[in-house]
Formats: sequence, C-alpha cells, structure tokens
Amino acid sequence: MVAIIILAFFGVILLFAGIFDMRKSIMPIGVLAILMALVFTLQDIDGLFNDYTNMFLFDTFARAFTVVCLVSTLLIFLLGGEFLKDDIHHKGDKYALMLFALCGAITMLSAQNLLMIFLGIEILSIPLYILAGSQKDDMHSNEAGMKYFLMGAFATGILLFGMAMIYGATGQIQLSAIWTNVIADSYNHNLMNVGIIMLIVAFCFKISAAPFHFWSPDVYDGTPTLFTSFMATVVKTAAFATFFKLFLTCFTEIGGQWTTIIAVIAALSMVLANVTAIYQRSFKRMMAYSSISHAGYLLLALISLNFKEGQSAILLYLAAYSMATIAAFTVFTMIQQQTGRSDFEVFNGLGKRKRLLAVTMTIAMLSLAGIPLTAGFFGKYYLFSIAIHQYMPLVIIAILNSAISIYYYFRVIVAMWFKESEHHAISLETSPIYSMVAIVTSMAIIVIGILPSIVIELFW
Amino acid sequence: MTEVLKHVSIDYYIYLSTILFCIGVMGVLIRRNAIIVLMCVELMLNSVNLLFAAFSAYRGDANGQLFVFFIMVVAAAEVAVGLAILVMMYRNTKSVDVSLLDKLKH
Repeated sequence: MVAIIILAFFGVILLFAGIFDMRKSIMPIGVLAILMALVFTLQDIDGLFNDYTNMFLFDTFARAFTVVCLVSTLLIFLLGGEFLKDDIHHKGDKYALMLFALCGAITMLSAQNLLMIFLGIEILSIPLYILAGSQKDDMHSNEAGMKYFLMGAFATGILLFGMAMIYGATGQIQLSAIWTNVIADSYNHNLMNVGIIMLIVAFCFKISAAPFHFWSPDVYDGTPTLFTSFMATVVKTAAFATFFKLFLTCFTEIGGQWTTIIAVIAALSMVLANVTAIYQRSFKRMMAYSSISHAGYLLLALISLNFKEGQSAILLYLAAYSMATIAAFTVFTMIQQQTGRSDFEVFNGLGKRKRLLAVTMTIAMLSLAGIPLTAGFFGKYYLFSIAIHQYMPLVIIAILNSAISIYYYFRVIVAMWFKESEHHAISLETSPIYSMVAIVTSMAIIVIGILPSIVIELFW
Repeated sequence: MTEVLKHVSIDYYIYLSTILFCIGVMGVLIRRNAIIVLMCVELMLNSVNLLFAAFSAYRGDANGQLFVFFIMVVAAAEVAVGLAILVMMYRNTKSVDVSLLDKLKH
C-alpha cells in the first residue's frame, strides 16, 4: 500500500517536471520512485493499513508479484532514458503514465474484492491505451491505440457482466465471502456458471490467450517498442496473477466445472501461437505470438487447482519470462532505433559486430525456449510438474509445443551468429544504459536458471 | 422504491440486462463507425449497472449500488481517453471508420 502511495505521488511530480522543463531529471526521479517503492515492498511495512483488509491486503502473494512488476518497470525506465531521448514535449507524461499503470497493477494484485480487481484492471489499462497511441503522427501507433482501447473496453464490459452475475449468484463481492458461499453450496448455479464463463473470457482477453488473442499481434507491433515491452511484462504479470488468485481463491471447490474450458483455451493458445509464430517476418509480431504461447503454458497453473504450489510456479515463470522479454527487447530496441527496421534480417551478423548484445539476445531466446541452465527451463519444469497429475495429455501438448517454439527462437540465434550482414555496414552504437540493462537481465536469467529457489525463497 | 421494484420478478431484470448487453456486444462486433462502437460499449456497461442495481435491491445489500458508482466513474474516464484516441485517428485519416485500421496486417 505504501508502494502505491509513493508511485502515485511521484507520478504527479513527474507530470509537473514535464511542465517545468526539467527534462534531464525526469528519468532519475522515476527510477528513484521505483527504488523507494521496492524498498517498502520488500520491507513489508504495512501496519498503517490493517483496517482495510476486506478491500485491500498487501500479503505475500501481492508482494512477490509486485516485486516482479517493479523490477521490470525499473529496467524499462532505464531503457526509456535512451528511447525517449528525443521526445521533448511528452517525456514526463509517458513516465508518469507508466507509474500510474503500475499503481493499477499493485491494486489488482492486492485486491480482496471484485470491486478492487475491476478498479485495478482499469487503472492499469487506461494509461496503456494512451501509451499505445502515444506516437500521434504515426498511423501504426494510432491503429494500435484504437484497437487496444476498443478491445480493452469490450473486455471490461464482459468482465463486469461476469462480476454482476457472481454478485447475483452469491450476494457477495468479497473474495473470501464468495468462497464461503461456494463451499456451503448456497448460491444460484445458473448465474454462477454464466459469471464464471464471462470472467474466463474477460481475463483471457487481458492475458491474450487464444481464441481471444487476435488483437495482440497488431497492438504489440504498432505500439512504440518501449511500451510493448511494458505490456508484455508488467501487464501480463499483473493480469495473470490476478486471474490465478481470483479463480483459486473463490472457485477451487467447483473446479470441475471450469478447468475443462481452461484446458481447451490453454491447448489452443499453445498450438495456434507457436504455429503462427513460425510464419512471422517481423520480430515484434513474433514476440507477440510468443507471449500468447506463454499465456497458454501459464494456464496450466490454474488447472492444477493448487494455490500453494501454483503461486510459486507462476512467480518463477513470470519472473523468468519478464527478464527474457526485457533482454530481447533491449537488444531489439537498440537495433531498431538505428536501422529503423523490425524484420529478422537486422540481426544478421550481430554476433561479429556487437558481441555483448548478441550474447544477451541468445540467452534471452534460450530462456524463452526453455533450454536448461536458463531461467525459462525451471519455470516450465515447475509449471508442468504441478499440472501433470490433473491433465496429463495437456502437459504432453505443452512439451511438444515447447519443442516447436525452439524453431522460431533459434531463427534469431542463427541469424546473429551464422549469417553475414548484407545491407547496413553502418556500425551500431551501444549506449552504456543499454549495455547495463543487457548485462543485468542476462545475469538474472542465468542466476535464476542455476538457483531457481532464490526467487521463491525470497517470499515463501 | 424497493417495494415497487419487487413487484417485478428478478428474472425480468436479468433478461432485460442480458438483452441490452447482447445488443451492445453485437454493436461492437458489427458496426464500423468508431463513435457508435463507443456508444455500444457504454450500453454494455449500463446494462451491467442495471443488473447490479437490481440484484442490490433484491438482496437488500448496498455493495451492488456501490459498484455502480465506480463503474460510472471508470466509464467516464475510459470514454475520455477513447474520444481522445478517436480525435487523433480522425486527424490522420479524416474518418472514424474502424475498418480503415488495417495497416498492421501484413
């Protein structure tokens, strides 16, 4: 809770810093805000707000995922120092909007109430609609903003309808009270079923799982790359963790009714996304499909119906996924800014010219593909091992799909190390910030890959 | 007021809201004019408001009505951002037709 107050306060300060022409100090202020929020999150100083636990409880679950979101945003802020360098007029606004979105993410993660979940989702989404369309003269960014907005508003409508049905079925909006009604079997079954299905549809829109994923390749592609990496990491983490928490707090006892739907959605997401990703020519679209397939793997945690094991599994998976995605986007942003292109050929011969970046990209791709000794391997391993007792065939599909995904992740690696660069003999310039973020993320991937328990033992 | 409400069965409120919600969903999916799509989104949210208010009255519980206020506030914020994006799009394309937005499909 203290973290939210700090982030909102500094968000407002950044807006003023934008007005009063303090361009140089905007990024450091943002970084300072996140570091302070991180300290308060890790220290667990929350005695101030113990009276509101029916609405909002900053428990271990919320703290763990908040840390993932904060670290991702911190790295994205550092990248922003370079990415938004030429943005004279709106730099402060963009940082402020990211901080506000982060407040929404933390609200969602600590919500104890359907109302707070709804508010959190909206506080997270509304700033992102603006960020997606923030390049005002670029048609692609316009299109991404409009599509993201329409999709988001539509999903919100469905989410609310689901919540209204749950409220109608149980008469409660508090998660623990809904759970009490569910185990006492004192609810209206028809309304409850409609409500659960609507909630699944809405959350699948938000985490972009197939068949509700159609918006995400376009939005990821059109959005300025810095904000794409924010969407792919922070939004995914917050939305998925909330989805997991809501369903496994309230509806575990009637799991038989909805796990089949989730299983079908998971299988569809994995198969569709991995097969489509092979045919992509743009790196950003490939990353969008990759993020859809990761949503599919993550849904295995819901099917396991095991809150205790599931939360550590998704924490590890999301931490690994966020680090790898940020590492990949760091390298890609740097190349895209200097060449202005986003196809796979830009990576040709990178291994010879910029060894550090090529190594970072390789580690990121290996981790996303789930190769041992990287963080992604243990993420997948824990996730598959908790789901294997419930849905054996689905885990087999997931393993086969990880094999398919190796094909398109390795395309980037092959291009970097084994292909000669044809077009641009121009030398790429690496700024120290990019190198720093690249080193930090690749170190994180390898450390988590060797000692996965440190992430989990930090909280549980 | 609650007495008047209770002369009508709760089922009818559910049917009415569901029909309104479906009209909103169909509008979002079918219409190509961005302003009408926005109106349809509002229709979806308002049908939910009606449903919350009805459930709230029938159960004699204030939480549902509380929810309605928050939905109205958020809907206003959302529309403000949505209209801004719409204006930005209109400046570039001189149109509010969402089917023009297909530049990202290769």
